Amino acid sequence: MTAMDKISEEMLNAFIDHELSDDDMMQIYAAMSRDSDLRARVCELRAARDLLRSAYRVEPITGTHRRLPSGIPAWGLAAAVALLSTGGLLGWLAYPAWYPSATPAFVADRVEPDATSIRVVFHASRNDEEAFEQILDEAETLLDANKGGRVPNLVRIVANGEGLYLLSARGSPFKHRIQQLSSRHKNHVVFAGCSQTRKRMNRERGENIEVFPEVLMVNSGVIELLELQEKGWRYMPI
Amino acid sequence: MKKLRLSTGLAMAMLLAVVGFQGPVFADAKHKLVIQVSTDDVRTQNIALNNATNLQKAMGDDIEIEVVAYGPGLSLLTKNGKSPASKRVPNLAVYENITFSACGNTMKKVAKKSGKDVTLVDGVKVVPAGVVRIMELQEQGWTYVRP
Repeated sequence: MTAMDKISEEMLNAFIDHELSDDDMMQIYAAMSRDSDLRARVCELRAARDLLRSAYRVEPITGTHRRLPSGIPAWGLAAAVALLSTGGLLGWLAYPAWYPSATPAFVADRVEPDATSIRVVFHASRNDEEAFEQILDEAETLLDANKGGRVPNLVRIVANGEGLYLLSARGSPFKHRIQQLSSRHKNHVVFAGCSQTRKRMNRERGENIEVFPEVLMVNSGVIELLELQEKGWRYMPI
Repeated sequence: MKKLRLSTGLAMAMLLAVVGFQGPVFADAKHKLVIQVSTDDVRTQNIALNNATNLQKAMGDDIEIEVVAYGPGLSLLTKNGKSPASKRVPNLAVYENITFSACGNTMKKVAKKSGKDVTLVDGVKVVPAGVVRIMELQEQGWTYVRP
């Protein structure tokens, strides 16, 4: 498995928007140092983001729309592409120099984690709706505290075993809460379901559990719990 | 231009710092997991055993697993046949290299209540107190799962 497979698009976007925890940033930096494809990908994403931002900056707020000329000459396109890639490259090279949290203090943070950032992985292994509601309440409290903080609180909710039913598109009463939490706290909350459980339930009970579109299916829920704890996440079972 | 070169240098230094820092973390590939069983619900006990065997299958020698049973969860490790899941334990203890720890405190309590000693299934070791054992392992860097 290459580093690219492990790091999702969502993570990379959060990375270039500086919305990841220090630990996750470090991981991506380390992965980038090993993987040239990943570096190129980040470069592209960053260039696209910068372009988008500058496009918004140039756009007059008064609402008068100027039309782009319909015939763009080929050399113009080539120049734009060249500019884009140089910009992306420069952006990537200059990045640690101008982004404040990427100074050596950033490395020190890893030794002494930021006390204001809380990372919790909740574990739902039983189909207990009352307990799950409590989990969602606690998650919401943690995430609502993310206002302008330097390092945001992060929440992951891992469901395996009977707990997978709580994320099932058919049968779970939590459709709206999951939708709401995911859209309001994009990048800071992840709902993860266990693929092993889904396979087993299919094999043993002939059930085909479809999860909500917000849910990320991970290969193994338990390994997810293990890895997050090893990265310093706090573990809260139902 | 000078500024650019400076930032490139900084970028390189940053990367080196990051990679150098990550080195020892990556080198220690060994995972350690303690699984808590504190309920006599047979389904949960079976899930705990499934978790252990599946992880063993997925990670092989890279993972060390200990199952700690206490309170009503002791039925998982007891020979009285109250929990069908207990039949799976000796095999896992001997052939799958999973450690099973029974809580000494719970054993004493059950013995006092029932008037006879608890007989454990083969391959199980006794720890003075289950909760303390889990706490100690966590302090030593073990991760923890309670199915």
